[in-house]
Amino acid sequence: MKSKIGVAAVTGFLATVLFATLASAQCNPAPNYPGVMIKFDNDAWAHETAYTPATLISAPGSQLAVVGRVSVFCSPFGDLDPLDPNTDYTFIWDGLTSRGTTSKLIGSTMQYTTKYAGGGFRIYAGSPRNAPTAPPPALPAPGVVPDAFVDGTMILGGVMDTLVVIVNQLQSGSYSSSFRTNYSCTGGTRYNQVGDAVNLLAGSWCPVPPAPPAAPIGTCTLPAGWSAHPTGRWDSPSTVPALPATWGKIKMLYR
Amino acid sequence: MKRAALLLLFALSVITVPALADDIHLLGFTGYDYESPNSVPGTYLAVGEGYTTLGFLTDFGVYLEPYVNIALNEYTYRYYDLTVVDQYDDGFFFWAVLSPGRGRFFEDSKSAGTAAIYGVNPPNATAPPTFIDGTLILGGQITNLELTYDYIANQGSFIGNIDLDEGTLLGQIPVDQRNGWTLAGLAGPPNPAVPDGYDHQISGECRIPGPTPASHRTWGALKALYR
Repeated sequence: MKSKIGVAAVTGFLATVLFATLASAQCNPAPNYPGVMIKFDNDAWAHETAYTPATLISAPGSQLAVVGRVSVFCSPFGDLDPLDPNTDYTFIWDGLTSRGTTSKLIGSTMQYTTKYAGGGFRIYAGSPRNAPTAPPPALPAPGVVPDAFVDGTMILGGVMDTLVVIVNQLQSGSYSSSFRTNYSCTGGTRYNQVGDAVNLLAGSWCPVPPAPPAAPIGTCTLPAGWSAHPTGRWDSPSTVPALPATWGKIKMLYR
Repeated sequence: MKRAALLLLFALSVITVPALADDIHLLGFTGYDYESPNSVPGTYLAVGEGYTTLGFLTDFGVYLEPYVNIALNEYTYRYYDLTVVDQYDDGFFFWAVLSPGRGRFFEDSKSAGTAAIYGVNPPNATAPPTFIDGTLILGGQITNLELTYDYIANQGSFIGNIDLDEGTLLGQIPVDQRNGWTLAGLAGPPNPAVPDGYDHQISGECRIPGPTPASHRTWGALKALYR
């Protein structure tokens, strides 16, 4: 019994040390808090089938998809290098059906809220690095979007709760926007490292300008066909499943 | 004389005329925000209170990428000295405008420096100190920062200008592209990733004006501009 407790304690200690060692220095969550797991930045874009940039309105039933490249991996994926010259870490969100956009004036701010239901996500490790970087190609881009973002091995996939996108048109003329949803994983070669616990997928949302070529602050000019540029993060699940390990494997870590 | 005229004609033929260009990504970041000073506890960002966000840089655009090394260094940021000058809060929706403050970006050696640690209830012994040590690579004045938050959706955002004016990498950014803007999404409770004492999780980026492309014009086209 004592030896089992000892093994459990050592395993826990090693897991902590390993995660701390492998995780990128751009991660460092506060102790005892789940931090960022996957971050995406400049190379992510959204498009949908019935969105009107001029009015910021997504029609009910419009299908939203987001494609992008991973820019940072943190625990428990600190061993993956998003800059690996031979591997393209890309993702897609799809199956997101708009419930329509509602707008209301609050104080001096016009707020546009759109909810998208039924979404899922998949993250791939493909080779070679063939997904486009900013600026993305105009749509449609046969053979590139979504193809270059969904090739290779699916390392993680899952489902999303209702995705809420809020775009605020401020009195100053600027735009200030965000998105938020919960996710849980359902599969992929790295699924056993995260399990199916629920956590947050959130960030900023930069819509295309309503009246180009004017590009107010807080809007992102993109080639034809795209509707927005998101930037955000998947957070680590609060509870990470324990990995099975033998005493021999633990000893191997010290050799 | 004829040669001089030809040279003048050639020079005029390649005069460049500015054209509009799209903005480009400078850097990406993620972290947390908090009120400091929090002089009116229980009221979120009351007039006169300060706003700070700090965390890690996660991505670099074409101007900075050649000069950073994430394998060897840790990159952090802090936006600070931003004070609420006006706000609206009806219990469902929050909006505030903040007076000018600063944004700074740092590089700290992984081997010789100090790892950035959030801790809890900022400001604390490690935040901001471990986020503002090392080399100041870029910094600027933040103006016109506006912050919104929707208490129903538990999410918000901020937007503002950032005019870059300091740092070891400032010279890598062309002078006419230093007046950019910054934006971020805010995710508040319920959010298990937010350490005690911080308000929201932050994901954002800085964008700057794109390079101004040159275009060839004929003498005739130039004269037409003045007619």
